[in-house]
Amino acid sequence: MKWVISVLIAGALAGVAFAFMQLRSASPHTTVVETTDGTQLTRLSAQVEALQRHLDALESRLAARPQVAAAGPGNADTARSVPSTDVEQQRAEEAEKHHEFMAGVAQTFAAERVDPAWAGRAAARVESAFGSDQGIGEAPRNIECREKICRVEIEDDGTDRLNRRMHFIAMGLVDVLPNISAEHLDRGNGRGSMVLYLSAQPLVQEAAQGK
Amino acid sequence: MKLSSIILSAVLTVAAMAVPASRVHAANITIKGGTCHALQFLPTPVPEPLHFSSGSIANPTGDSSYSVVCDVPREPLALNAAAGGFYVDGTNFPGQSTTCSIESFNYNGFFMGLVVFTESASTYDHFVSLPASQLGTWAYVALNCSLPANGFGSLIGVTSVQ
Repeated sequence: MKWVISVLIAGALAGVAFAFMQLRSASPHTTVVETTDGTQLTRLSAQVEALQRHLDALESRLAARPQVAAAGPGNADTARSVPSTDVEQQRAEEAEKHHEFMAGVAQTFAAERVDPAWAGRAAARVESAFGSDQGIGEAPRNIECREKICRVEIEDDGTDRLNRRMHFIAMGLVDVLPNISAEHLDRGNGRGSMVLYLSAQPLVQEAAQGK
Repeated sequence: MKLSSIILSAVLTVAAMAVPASRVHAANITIKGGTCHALQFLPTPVPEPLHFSSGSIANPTGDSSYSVVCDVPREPLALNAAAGGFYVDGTNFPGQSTTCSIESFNYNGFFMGLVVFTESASTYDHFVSLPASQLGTWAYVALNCSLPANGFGSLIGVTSVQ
């Protein structure tokens, strides 16, 4: 029993020593309160407080990272504070997350049965919304509606006009298909297409069901 | 024995706190309509909106398709959030309506999604949400509103909810 207690105490002291060294190396300006009676508890309490302060500072810095980086490429502060590999990795992860979401939506759409009456009405409204828009009207597109969701694939000529006109296209569908989720497909040579899924209800649940 | 237990507890506490925190201090962010600008398309420039002392804005023209665009600042969503929400506030004169969309774009400027709504209430506080996959840290969010002609309605502002 004594042997066990000795091992535990030795381990604990090693842990405290390690934590203390970590603290000293991580924040050299941290003040550790030394008590006159020198009890370990007082020291530990001070170390915990100092660690908390250090963690708070780290959290603040982490929280500020994306906002600084979002200021745009070429910002010298961004280059200093956020290693480019981190940014690229985070962006790749977000792109993958959106791709997975859209794959779920596509799966849900594919599993829908076709309601001819609804599909016909909805497709006519979608065609009207896209067709009547200045600059978008002549863009080749493929519209398919099923039961609750419509899918539109439209050629993107790389001029940004699709991105700029989405508010006005959506205005024409506000009473029938107010939720739109989209994914850009790169075809190379600066050209691509945009695939849109339009629905009356938010597609969050649809995607979850599709997975 | 007691001292060793206390020391062990303290060590475990220190070790637990040394684990990097994954939580994010997220907060709602509200902006006034006064920060928005007229949505411009070539070739004809359109005037900036009317600005009121309350910070809200209105359509200065007789054209009901006049629209404004607003930056929507956000904080990162909680780790497992399925969606992010927004409240859009405004007013309409009797018989008038306002149509707004909250749009999301990725860091390359590609459109990722939107939700559009029309409000005809005299005062509205309209909630909409977008899927979390369209509200990543690097996504840009904009509010577009087509305001009633001749100042017959106003956009008060928008709040991103975290």
